[in-house]
Amino acid sequence: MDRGRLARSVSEFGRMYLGNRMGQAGLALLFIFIGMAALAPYLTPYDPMYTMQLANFRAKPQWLDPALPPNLYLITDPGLPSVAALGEWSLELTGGSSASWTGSEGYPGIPLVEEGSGPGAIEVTGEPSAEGTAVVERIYQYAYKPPRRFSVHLAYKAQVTGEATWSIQVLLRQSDGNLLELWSSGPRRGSQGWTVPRPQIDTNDAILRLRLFNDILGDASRMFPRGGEYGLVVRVSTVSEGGTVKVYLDDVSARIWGESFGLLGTDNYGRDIFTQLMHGSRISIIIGIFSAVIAVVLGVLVGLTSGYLGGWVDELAMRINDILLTIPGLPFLIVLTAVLGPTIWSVIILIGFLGWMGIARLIRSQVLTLKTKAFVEASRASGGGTWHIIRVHLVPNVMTMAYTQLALTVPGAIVTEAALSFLGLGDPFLQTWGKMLHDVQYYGAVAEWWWAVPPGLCIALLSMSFVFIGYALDDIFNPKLRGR
Amino acid sequence: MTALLEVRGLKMHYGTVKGDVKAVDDVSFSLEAGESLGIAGESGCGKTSVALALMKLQPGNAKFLGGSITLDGMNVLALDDEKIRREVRWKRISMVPQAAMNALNPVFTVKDQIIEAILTHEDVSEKEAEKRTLELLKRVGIDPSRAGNYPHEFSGGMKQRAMIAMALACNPEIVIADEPTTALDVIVQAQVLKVIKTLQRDLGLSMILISHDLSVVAETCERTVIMYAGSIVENTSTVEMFRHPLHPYSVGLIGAFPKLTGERKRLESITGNPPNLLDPPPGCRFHPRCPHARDVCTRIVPPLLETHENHMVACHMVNRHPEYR
Amino acid sequence: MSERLVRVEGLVKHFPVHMSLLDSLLRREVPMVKAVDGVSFTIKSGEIFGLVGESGCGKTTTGRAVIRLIEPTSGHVLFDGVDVDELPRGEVKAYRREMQIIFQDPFESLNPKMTIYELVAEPLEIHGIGAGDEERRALISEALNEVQLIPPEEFLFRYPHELSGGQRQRVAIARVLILKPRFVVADEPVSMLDVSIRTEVLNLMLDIREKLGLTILFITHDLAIARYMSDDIGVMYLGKLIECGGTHDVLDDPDHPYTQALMAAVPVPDAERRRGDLPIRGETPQPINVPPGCRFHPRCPYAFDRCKVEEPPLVEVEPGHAAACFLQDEFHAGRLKRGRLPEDQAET
Ligand SMILES: Nc1ncnc2c1ncn2[C@@H]1O[C@H](COP(=O)(O)OP(=O)(O)OP(=O)(O)O)[C@@H](O)[C@H]1O
Ligand SMILES: Nc1ncnc2c1ncn2[C@@H]1O[C@H](COP(=O)(O)OP(=O)(O)OP(=O)(O)O)[C@@H](O)[C@H]1O
Ligand code: SF4
Ligand SMILES: [Mg+2]
Ligand SMILES: [Mg+2]
Repeated sequence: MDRGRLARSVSEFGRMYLGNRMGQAGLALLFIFIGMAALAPYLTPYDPMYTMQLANFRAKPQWLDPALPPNLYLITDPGLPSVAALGEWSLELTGGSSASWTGSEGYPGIPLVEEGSGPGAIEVTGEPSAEGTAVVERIYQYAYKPPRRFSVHLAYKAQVTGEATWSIQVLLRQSDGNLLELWSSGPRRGSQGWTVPRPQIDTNDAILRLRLFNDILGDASRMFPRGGEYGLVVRVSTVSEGGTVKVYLDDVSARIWGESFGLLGTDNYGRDIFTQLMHGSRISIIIGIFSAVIAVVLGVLVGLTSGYLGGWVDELAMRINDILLTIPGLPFLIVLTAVLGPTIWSVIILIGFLGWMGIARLIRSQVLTLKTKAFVEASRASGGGTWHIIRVHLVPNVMTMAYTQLALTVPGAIVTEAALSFLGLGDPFLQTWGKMLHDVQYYGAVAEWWWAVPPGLCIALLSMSFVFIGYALDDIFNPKLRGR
Repeated sequence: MTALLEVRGLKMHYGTVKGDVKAVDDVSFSLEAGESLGIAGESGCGKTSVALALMKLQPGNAKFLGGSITLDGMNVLALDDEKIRREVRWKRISMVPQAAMNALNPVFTVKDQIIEAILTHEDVSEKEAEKRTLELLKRVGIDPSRAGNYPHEFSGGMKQRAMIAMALACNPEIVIADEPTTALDVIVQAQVLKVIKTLQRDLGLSMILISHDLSVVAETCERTVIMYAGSIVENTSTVEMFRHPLHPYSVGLIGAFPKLTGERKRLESITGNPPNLLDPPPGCRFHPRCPHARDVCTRIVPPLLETHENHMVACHMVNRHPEYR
Repeated sequence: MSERLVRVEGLVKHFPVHMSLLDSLLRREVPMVKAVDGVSFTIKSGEIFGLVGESGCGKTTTGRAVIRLIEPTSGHVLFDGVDVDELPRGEVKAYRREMQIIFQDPFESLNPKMTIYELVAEPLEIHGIGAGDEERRALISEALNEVQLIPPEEFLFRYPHELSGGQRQRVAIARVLILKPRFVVADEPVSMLDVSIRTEVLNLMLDIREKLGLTILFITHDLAIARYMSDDIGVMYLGKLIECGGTHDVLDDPDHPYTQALMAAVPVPDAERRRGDLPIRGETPQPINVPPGCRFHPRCPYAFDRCKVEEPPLVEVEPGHAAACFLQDEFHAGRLKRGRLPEDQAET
């Protein structure tokens, strides 16, 4: 019998809520954000914090300029798992060299640093008592604006029996035929286990830039200044003084780092901004709701007790309230986060504990009027004690206000968290919207609107959705404001 | 002799989201020069709505659906707002609104507010207006020495009297007083009613007094109209109304008032509740509560007819029921 | 059972006007609202005592203090010969259950968020009456029947806003009756109701009184209703009873000028009986500054020097009829005409 009643009043509430314009808008917006939060791991494969180097740092969104290079990998199959993988390379042999695919060797990787592709490698053999070179070249058609970063990776190994020297060179053949030497092992004697060039062959390496361009500020745009045919050349030279030498090459790859990436580009670490935005909704919603719940629960408790009990309890609660209200909030928060440490939970608790005052005042004044209502007195007249009255008459009557306040407190909490993060006081292990704004500011990326605007907009829209919901609830629970 | 104010078939509904509130439905009555008419009825039966319609001060969602209001041969409903404001309101018909005492502006003195009212409606010098104000206040029994007080320094009764003075500021022919004594204690109420009665007699005013309290109307007015659920059910002289009420509602209402004198006997009550004006009963709006209702009452709206001399009743059974006359 | 069920002795209730923290720290003298300033009366078992007076004269405060809804400043209330204040704690609740109150405004005195069932069940819950839903439901149905909310099932799960004013007041009465009290304070139970439904509620109360032998303190500002309802009547002015006695004695032959003024002021729904001129002027002063002497003297047309300095006690003019006026015997004996000014005391 009572359940039917409840169902009726719930559906009645639902009907009234959905009939409310603001309510609709707020709920629709909130659903979008909740969808974002729930689906974030499915919408993007990356981690907002730890997946770095997805493209060059501060790549632009892909849709912004199609002429910007995306991530380009010059070699399709660097692991050389089968003889067929050799097909993309052209081979040129001179002197006593031969080159072929071998399945018995392969780069095993370096523990803790990188993985290798395993069996499958190019084997270059220098004939005894002869000189020879083997050149493998990968021809590549480049058709974009100049990139800023280019890197090449390779792993090599040499096996020498008797007397022989060997060297490996990595070169870039530019579209005008000019050859740039990116790296050279120099003439070596003796065997060498699997290894990789140190430092890596990367235009991020200042020494390389200095050597190549005579200019420490130059970048890969000088390597690929215009569209055309480029070649990545690996030259293995052997000189046998009677012995034999075998040089193995594996995991040869080259990457033109993307200047454009994803929907919103990348940040200073090459992390995906879109991923950060999606995941940011989770944190904002969690922080917003949890700290608002703390604030509202505290506010309701304080408001109820001080309003109902009155006297010195009330006086004390309200004075504490005044003191907390007059302390400027943000500086206080900054100090407290500094003391408690900037984890998300301490931020939530702090925002919650500093947000209850206004609510307590509202609830208290509501309780003060409720307390004088005749039905409270009627209950007292029929013998109802303090707890009975609080439980049966006051709590249900302030709950509607509590719900409204809950919705209206969330935006404040979201914005406060954003402000803390913006000031660099948020949880350093979480990429929140506020933190994104912080990064924008920190790296002077204000002009990169695709980075700067979305987090701000999301903060505003999510806050707005709660404000709308709060207003709609207020409208429903306080019918006197409703138009005739 | 034609009446000073003649209301015929007035119909005014309020549009709301839930439908039309049929607050005034086919209301007709007339007011002679110098006559005092009382409109009595329960809360929400449309008394204030009638008064507002007479002044054309109806709320924004009101709709006039028919009828006429004729003041001295001039159809008020047909006049445009500008003309009504310039020529009718205050000068010919003025009103002491319901809960008027709270309508005084707390930041001006009572005197200034009345002077202001005179100056906005009439082209007289400030001196003249002040003189008239003090005269009016004296008439309603407020000592001119207190005219410069602020409203909060006045008691409830004095505020109400000041509002009456303000209504008289432009020498209107008709004064409508809507529940002039409702918030007042009996003794103060008696004082205010006395002022109203004296003024009406001395100035030869035509007056419409609205009250939910039949005894206030009985004390003050020569003629009584009883309203029920948006319509007039009975209209006759006050003496006749209390001696021989004809409409079952009037009979019930008068019978339901405990008496202060005479024998104490059990009062007969009217059963049921007043209808919701969003959806009033068809036929006679009183039929669900009426002890004499017949089939016809549920279908046909009884017209307000002069069934006896100078006595108008809207009831199908009035001449058929042996209990009556 | 004693014949006099309720005996009120020297009841006083003063409210501090406003006590700020500073005031209490400085122990400042706070002005007091003397809402009730020494009221004594008795109510016979099974009778209705009507308490009348103008707004603010302290009727409600008296009613609440009598059933201990508020703590009186001083004075005693004996219920059935027992001073509730002197009872051991354990017995207080049982006594309080026997004294109930019906409030003025049924739109306010019922929690809008509770169903009628919950509302009427609340007192049962508080006092732990009725084991199980079944029994409670039966009790509730019985109470609703008692107040003519028939059939009860139709009302049980409605909310107050789905009822008319008269029905709400019946629910309020049912809430009170369900505790089977012996004494009920009814504080203006019909003043917020439409005229046409007042009589029903009044008659209902009379019937219940008859049936259950209830004793009622009936508070009203309406003399006619007081006359209709009560066996005895008390007239209050500025926190004091100035006249009390049998309803007929007091209202038909009022011996206090204030009662006479009230009677003269009440409009009569009878066009042929116009009242005479009123000898009373001004309005009731605030109970903060109560005039010295007879508190009515500034407005009394008969006041003379003694009235300004000495407070007339409430003494009997005839058995069972007391008044607090120095001239009461003159009125009673007919030497002074009631409600008419003696020529020599007339003022301009
Ligand atoms: N602006 C409005 N819109 C809709 N309904 C209205 C409006 N004003 C009044 N009503 C309704 O019209 C009906 C008549 O109202 P009105 O104020 O005329 O009654 P009344 O007889 O003066 O009552 P009272 O004695 O309470 O003043 C009532 O049911 C009221 O709720
Ligand atoms: N809690 C309170 N605090 C301060 N003053 C109060 C309080 N309750 C009542 N009073 C004052 O005490 C006086 C008597 O009030 P009370 O409500 O008893 O009058 P009443 O006769 O019931 O009036 P009414 O007819 O308006 O209900 C009033 O002046 C009122 O303002
Ligand atoms: S018309 Fe019918 S229902 Fe209406 S009052 Fe007359 S008898 Fe009653
Ligand atoms: Mg009205
Ligand atoms: Mg009261």
